[in-house]
Amino acid sequence: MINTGAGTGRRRETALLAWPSLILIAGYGYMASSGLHHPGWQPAYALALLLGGFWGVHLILQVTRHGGDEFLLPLAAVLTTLGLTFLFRLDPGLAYRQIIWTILGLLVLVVVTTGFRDYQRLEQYPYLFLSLGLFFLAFTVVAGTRIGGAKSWVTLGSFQMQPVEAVKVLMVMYLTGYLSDKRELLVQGVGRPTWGPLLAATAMAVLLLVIQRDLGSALILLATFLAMLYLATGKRRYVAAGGGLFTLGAVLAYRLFPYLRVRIAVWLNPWTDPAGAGYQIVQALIALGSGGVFGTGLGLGHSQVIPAVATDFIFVTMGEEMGLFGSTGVALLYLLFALRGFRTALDAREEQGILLAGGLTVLVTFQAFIIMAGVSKLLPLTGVTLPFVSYGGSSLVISYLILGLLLNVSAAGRGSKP
Amino acid sequence: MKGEIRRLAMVTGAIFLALVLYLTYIQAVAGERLYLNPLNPRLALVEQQTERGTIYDRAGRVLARTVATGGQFQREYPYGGATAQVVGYVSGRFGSSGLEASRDGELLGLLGWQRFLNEGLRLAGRQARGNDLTLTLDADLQRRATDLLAGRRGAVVAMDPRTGAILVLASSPTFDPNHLEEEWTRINDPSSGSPLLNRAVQGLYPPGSVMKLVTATAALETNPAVLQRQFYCPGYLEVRGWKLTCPRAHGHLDFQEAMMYSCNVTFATLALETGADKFKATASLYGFNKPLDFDLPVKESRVPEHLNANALAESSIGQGAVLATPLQMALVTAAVANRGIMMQPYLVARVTSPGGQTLWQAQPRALQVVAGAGVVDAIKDAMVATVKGGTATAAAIPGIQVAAKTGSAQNPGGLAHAWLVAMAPAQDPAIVVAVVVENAGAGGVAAAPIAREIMAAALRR
Ligand SMILES: [Zn+2]
Repeated sequence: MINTGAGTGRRRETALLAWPSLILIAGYGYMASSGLHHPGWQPAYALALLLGGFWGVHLILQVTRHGGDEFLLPLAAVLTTLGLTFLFRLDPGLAYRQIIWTILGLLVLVVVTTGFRDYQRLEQYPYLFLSLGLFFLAFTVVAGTRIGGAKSWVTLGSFQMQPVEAVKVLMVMYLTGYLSDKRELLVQGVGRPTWGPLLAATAMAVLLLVIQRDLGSALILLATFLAMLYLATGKRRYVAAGGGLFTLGAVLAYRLFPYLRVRIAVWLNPWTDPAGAGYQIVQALIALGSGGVFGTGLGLGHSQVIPAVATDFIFVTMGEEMGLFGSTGVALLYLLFALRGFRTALDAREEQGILLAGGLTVLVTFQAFIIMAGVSKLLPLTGVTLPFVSYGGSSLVISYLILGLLLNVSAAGRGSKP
Repeated sequence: MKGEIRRLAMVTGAIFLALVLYLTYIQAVAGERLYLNPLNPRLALVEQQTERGTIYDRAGRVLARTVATGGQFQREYPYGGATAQVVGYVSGRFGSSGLEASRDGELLGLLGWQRFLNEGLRLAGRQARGNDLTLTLDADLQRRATDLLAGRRGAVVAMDPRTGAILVLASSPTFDPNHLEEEWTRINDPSSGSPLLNRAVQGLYPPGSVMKLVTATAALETNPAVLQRQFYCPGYLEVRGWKLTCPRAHGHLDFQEAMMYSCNVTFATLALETGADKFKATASLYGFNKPLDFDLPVKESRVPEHLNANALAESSIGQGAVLATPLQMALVTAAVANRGIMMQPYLVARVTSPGGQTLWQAQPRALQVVAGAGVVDAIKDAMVATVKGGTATAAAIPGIQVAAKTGSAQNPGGLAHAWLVAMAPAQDPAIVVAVVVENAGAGGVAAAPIAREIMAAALRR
């Protein structure tokens, strides 16, 4: 691999940022011509703010001679700008709020990439992250609000957030610290006391998520845990055992929770109740089918009949209006993001970097996969957001936090190369 | 650890490949089907902005057309109740039915490249127009059949056995699709006799003695010598302690006489000799227990899977658990008329673009070779004799040789359902008719005159 990133002017990133810029300009054209307006906002301000935001981050990375991967920021930017365009088409009010979240996310990215470059220092306190994560979860269980099935929201005044997004990152950071520390012991076999805290912590987090009915996040957390365990130990039978335990837990949960049975029944055949429980999935499938290969064109679809279209189901809007080309394009963007993330892990020089980059990559990609597969009925639907795209402050800001961490691991890996 | 990362990346690649393949299936392969699903709210919007195509009968008479009144589209059905179930209706409030529903894609111009063209027109603020359908239906015959049913519950199917073209597909009672709003409460009232139901394709009736055409085919295919045999009917047949009866003791009779007088004992005997497997196989060749691909949804006609001696004897005379649609029995008769070759039935002859260009045209094709010409010709001869001096004399037309078979199907609902299937002219049949009138008694009395009128009207032109 040619080391083009470290210390240079990030020329590749400069070139690639042209794509999200074009999307923004096209989106601006759509905003200006659509006649959809939101009081107190001007499309031109929105355009300037966003262009300034993305190029500003690029400039800061350049000036601070950040050596991180040059593909990740453009990929995230393409996803976010596409998401904003579709959000504006669905609900201009949400889009303007999402612009603020985007700017906030970019600020977090700047803080992480400039202030916390030495990620290894973060990994000295795994139990701090774990405690924080479990506290957030427990707090949500006790004081959370149920919105759209899952009790995963915390309301503070007029401000709502989903702590679970932060919890997932905290868990990855805990696992990174713990696994890199205890790796040698874990490889030697099951049944050692080392496994205790690891399994207890993961099981606790998953259980708390299941209690909140946030099955999607529980699934993502489990998959991330297994992936990181595999990275740390290299033992496939651990993953197989984990998969077996998961199946057992799933069967148990299926018997225990009626809402889960309903969800599986809807997945198997949504057409038996197309006006009730199956409505979302039936209409999502019809929307995707109506989009066909080429799509209806921006703003010409009718996916707004689907509840939660701006959050969990935004992929359906993209699939209808951009067609098969658009939907597979978005899927491939996540695959590219995954490949760059795994490349980052591959370049990392020590275990912590590998585990952190690998874990975060699995976290983002798997979440994207299960919601894209969920809304198209490939998998049972579990309501999670599409990272970088869906409306939602917590999800977007955390996505950019993850991006920052990945860039830091990447910079360390490349910088230390001869 | 590097190897593990690579493997993880490969797994990620694999699941995304699965997603992309699946999306390709949903959007490219199943896309049009999903788009045309009646649950799609986009269709209602298209409906408002598109002039639905016209539906014509075989002679170009209008069966359904769209007129614009005050900027709003309104659908008109000049033949009213006569074509109500076949053509169907389309309504913002009550949904759609019949061909209006099953041919939505063509009538609104939503298929293939036309969809893009019409969407472009709508975007440009211009009105799009759907395609026209030309049916094989004969509107005059259809109206006559509806009149002859005279509000009684029943159905009439007429078709050209040589091509499979459907000439009449009438169902009664009926409703006026032009006044759906006013009629809706009445037609959904249980006492109105389900006028929305298209009995010709959705009504399942015990076929009664008409089933003997199937039984005869199975018997003659197995053993042609049956034609020379003498049978004896004492008025009943004991099958494992259970008695199957004839209306009277027919005494000595041959195959043709058994058909003429519709002797249950003889046909049950033949079925028992032939065996359940051959009987079921023959019924399945005629189309029983198989889905039928047609322009309207058709209920599957059925013969029971497991037939013991009792059930076989019952089934051979069209009683017990045997159920058939009028269209199915018309197809059986058409196969007999067409030298054992059953043609694929069809209702839509042509799809024409708004510019008059033919987009699609039906091609007659054989659906199934059911039996040898020798076998079906012997059955046809017996049916001719049935009209000359048997149970179907009421189907006779002066100057034209008619072949027919009656049926009076026992049912729990009261009087027997009256059946008649017929073909004419017998030497080279150009029309086949199947008539059923619910709870009307003997087929030779209630159903035969209807079939006669339809055949006479069709052939005298
Ligand atoms: Zn008899």
